[in-house]
Amino acid sequence: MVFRKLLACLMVAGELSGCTTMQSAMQSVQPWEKDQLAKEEMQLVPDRTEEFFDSRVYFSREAAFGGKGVGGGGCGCN
Amino acid sequence: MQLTKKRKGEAVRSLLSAASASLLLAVPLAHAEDVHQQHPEGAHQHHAEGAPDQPWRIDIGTMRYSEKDRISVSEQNFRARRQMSEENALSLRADYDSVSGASPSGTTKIQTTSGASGTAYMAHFQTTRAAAGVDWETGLSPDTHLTLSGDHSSSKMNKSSGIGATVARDFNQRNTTLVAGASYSVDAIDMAIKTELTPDSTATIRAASEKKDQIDLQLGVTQVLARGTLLQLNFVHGHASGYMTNPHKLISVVHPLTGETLTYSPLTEKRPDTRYSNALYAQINQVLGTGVLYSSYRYFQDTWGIKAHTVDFKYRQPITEKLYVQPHVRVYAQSAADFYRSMLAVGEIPTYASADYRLAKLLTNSVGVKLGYQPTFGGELTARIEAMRQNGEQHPQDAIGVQRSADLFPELEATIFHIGYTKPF
Repeated sequence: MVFRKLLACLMVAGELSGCTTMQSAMQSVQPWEKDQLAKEEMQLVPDRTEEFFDSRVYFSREAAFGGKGVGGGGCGCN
Repeated sequence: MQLTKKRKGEAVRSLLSAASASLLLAVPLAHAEDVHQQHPEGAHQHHAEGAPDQPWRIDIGTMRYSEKDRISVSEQNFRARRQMSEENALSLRADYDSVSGASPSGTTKIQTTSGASGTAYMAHFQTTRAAAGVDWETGLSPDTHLTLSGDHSSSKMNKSSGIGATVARDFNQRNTTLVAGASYSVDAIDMAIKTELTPDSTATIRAASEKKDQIDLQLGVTQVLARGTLLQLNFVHGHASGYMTNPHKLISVVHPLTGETLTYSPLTEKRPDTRYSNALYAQINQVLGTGVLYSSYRYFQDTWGIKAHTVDFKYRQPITEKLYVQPHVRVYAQSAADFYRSMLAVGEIPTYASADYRLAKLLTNSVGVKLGYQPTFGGELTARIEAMRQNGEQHPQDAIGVQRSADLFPELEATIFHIGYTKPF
């Protein structure tokens, strides 16, 4: 419960829409209400090649990297 | 024949049960696998495309990255994924890129000298790289999924190999997915490695190759917050050890008062041989009307003293049933590495030093737009253009004498053009 409250609060920080409202929304999402979430565009990475190319560009031009996951191998460069 | 009220109620309940069962199977699996960056579509895509009849999915992309007066990159990427059974899928990935052009060498633009010490502000180079990878996704239980990955890339001087494993477990009616992952990679560089922080003109070759190890550990959670709202939180800790110096970069040596380079040879650079990094990443996908807003933020810090913030927004808006437009804005800001030096005064030999502008304080701004279209022959075609601009401190505090009058940060303007095609079948 505390974990879910924390998640709800994090969401609120982004949307400024009220912690209680979001928490109740979270609890009310039932399997048959996931029509929107099931759409391709709601994937966390909807376009794999776009994600891949962007990560390559920014990795080679900025000092910070990663954060979205692990694996994929290195680039073999410094 | 008319149904009685009771029978109608039973029919509705049956329908809801069937719908809920199918959605239970379809949606959360997607989010579980989506957490892992390398395997974004997973079962989600499979079900969303009406899958048992479409066990294959291919992703093809080509990108052209062009910097004004600097390098150009041409890159091709391919992936094929095969759903082998309900719980098992195999993916093969391939990538090829070709880079050519000029890159800042690290030396200052103003070189008040003649003869041996003069070193080009820009260094020209050309290279090609090929990479391949494989992913195996399998179910450990109805709620737990394992993904194993292997990668290898190779260019003339660099080779990299890596393995990774990610476990995702669903909870809370599959509204919550916890993810834990780990990966290991080793990079090898095969070229003449010169002695570090020594004058380039007299540096000797101390090794024919060097290597670097990288371990990454990930903890993440994906949470359905509302009917049209999805949150991802990720923490990734990285530990790199080994050779991380850039053997192509130099640092100008100048007179301590005038800033003139005179006849001083620039020094080879040297970076620490360990680097611990932490990245905290948050992403929210939010349905807004008929569109979807993707918002993300990343905080990064490492033991080299770099702190970086990244914010990214994309908004996908359908125009027709087969066409959508997606504008994009990204802002990135980083502080300098502790050992970043735009130049060194003659006689000064720090423990570590690099004049690589990518370790300087800098800001990157990107704007772009993508169009997605579903052609009559199936799948989805995308075309995207992005403009990227990088700025930094033109007159850093450690600039000396005449170097203060120069623009020391090599500003960068680049365009990215990308065409992609995705098709399940």
